[in-house]
Amino acid sequence: MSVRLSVINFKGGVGKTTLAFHLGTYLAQENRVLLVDVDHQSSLSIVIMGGPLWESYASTGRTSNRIFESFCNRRIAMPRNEIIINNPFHEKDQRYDFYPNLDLVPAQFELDDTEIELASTTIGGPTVSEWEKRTLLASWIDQVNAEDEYDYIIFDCPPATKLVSQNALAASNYFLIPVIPDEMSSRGVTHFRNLVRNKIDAKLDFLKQSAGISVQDIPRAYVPTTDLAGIAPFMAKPAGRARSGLTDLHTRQLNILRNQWGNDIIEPPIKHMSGVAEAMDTGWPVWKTYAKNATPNVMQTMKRVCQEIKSRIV
Amino acid sequence: MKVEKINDEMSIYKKLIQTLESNYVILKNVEANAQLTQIYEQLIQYLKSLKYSDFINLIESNKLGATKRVSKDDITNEAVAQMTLDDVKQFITDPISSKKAIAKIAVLRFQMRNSEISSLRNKQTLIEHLRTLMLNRETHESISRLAGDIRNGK
Repeated sequence: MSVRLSVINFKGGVGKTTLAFHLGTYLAQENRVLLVDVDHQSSLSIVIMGGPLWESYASTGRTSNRIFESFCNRRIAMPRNEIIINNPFHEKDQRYDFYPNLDLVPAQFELDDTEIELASTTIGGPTVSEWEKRTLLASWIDQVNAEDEYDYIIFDCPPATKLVSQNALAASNYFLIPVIPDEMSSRGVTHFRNLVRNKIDAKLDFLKQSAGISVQDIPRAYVPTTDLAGIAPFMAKPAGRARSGLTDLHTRQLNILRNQWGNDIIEPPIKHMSGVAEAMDTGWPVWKTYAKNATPNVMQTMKRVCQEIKSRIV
Repeated sequence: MKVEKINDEMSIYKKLIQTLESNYVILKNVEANAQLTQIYEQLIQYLKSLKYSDFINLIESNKLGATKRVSKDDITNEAVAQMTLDDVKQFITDPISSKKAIAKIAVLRFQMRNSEISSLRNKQTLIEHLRTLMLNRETHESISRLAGDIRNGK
């Protein structure tokens, strides 16, 4: 049985893709991991696959988009394994084979359009339709038996809480919120946690009951309650002479987050400009890149964060 | 007979990598200096990424008294400007291309600063860096093509 996690925040640029990428590669050292890119920006897909390989999949529609398209367009069947790329790092660069246990479902730009279409499409009764369009990812996981094939499935979500994100949450045991420790980004955390519990999980349950979905029609991968795995402070700005090692603003906001969320905060915070972005530019995690800024200290911090997340998603 | 000899040498090369990997595990187990362990791991990765023939070239060129191979040292600005991406790829991975010539390509074609180049550890790191920059350029082309498809309503 796989453990499924959505990396999500409705604010963009907080490090969702970076965290999903590093967590995926960290877990893949000893586990079978499937990364699912459901963000139409396709950043995770492009980082892992590189442009040309990603283009070959996106231009032939072998992406997560097809899962959602299959609802809007009945001539398109729910995809099977053809949207999974086995060992994509090796596929990108045959010289290396660091992560044979890591697979990827890429995204494509059109997912944005498909989501709009999905919202306005109704098939059958309206309540059943609303339920089905929110459980498409769970149905696909059943379809390809991904629950048994992988130990971890990680969804890299778009910066939104619309239908695609709701699909990821409906199939996830946990959600993880990366956050920049400043006031604007932190507000999203409070809002988001309540949203997942009271609006998304509760709404799905309501739809399931109202539509009278029978037990055998509920996807096996559907998870009624999605728990918070943690809040991961990301891109904290360093300040060399400060005792905390961070700027005043980020030190203060981090303390506010710690007071507010206690053990939900994942330590240590990942600092900005520490070689992480440089590693992402090379298409490799900080542990494997040649980028000169990926010092042992950066690798150690990222590893500790991933270890901490792993210990929380059991 | 010749084939057998090559196979023998290759298995010795594999054995060498295995030995280095075993030593790496020991270093990790005894919690040796983190930087040392990291460099050691990178050395193994580098050796594993080499073709056997490249490895032999590398060893031979460092032997005392070995004849210096002619290096592709001289490359004009015009020649750099006229290179296609494929030409660049071929040039930088050619073992006889010098670091100096590759650095010239890095500056003229990829806008790298000299200080950035000199901060890279060695020629191989510079080559990896250029490979990344080329892949990133190809990625922009891929994005452009796919975004174009959308604009054309495909």
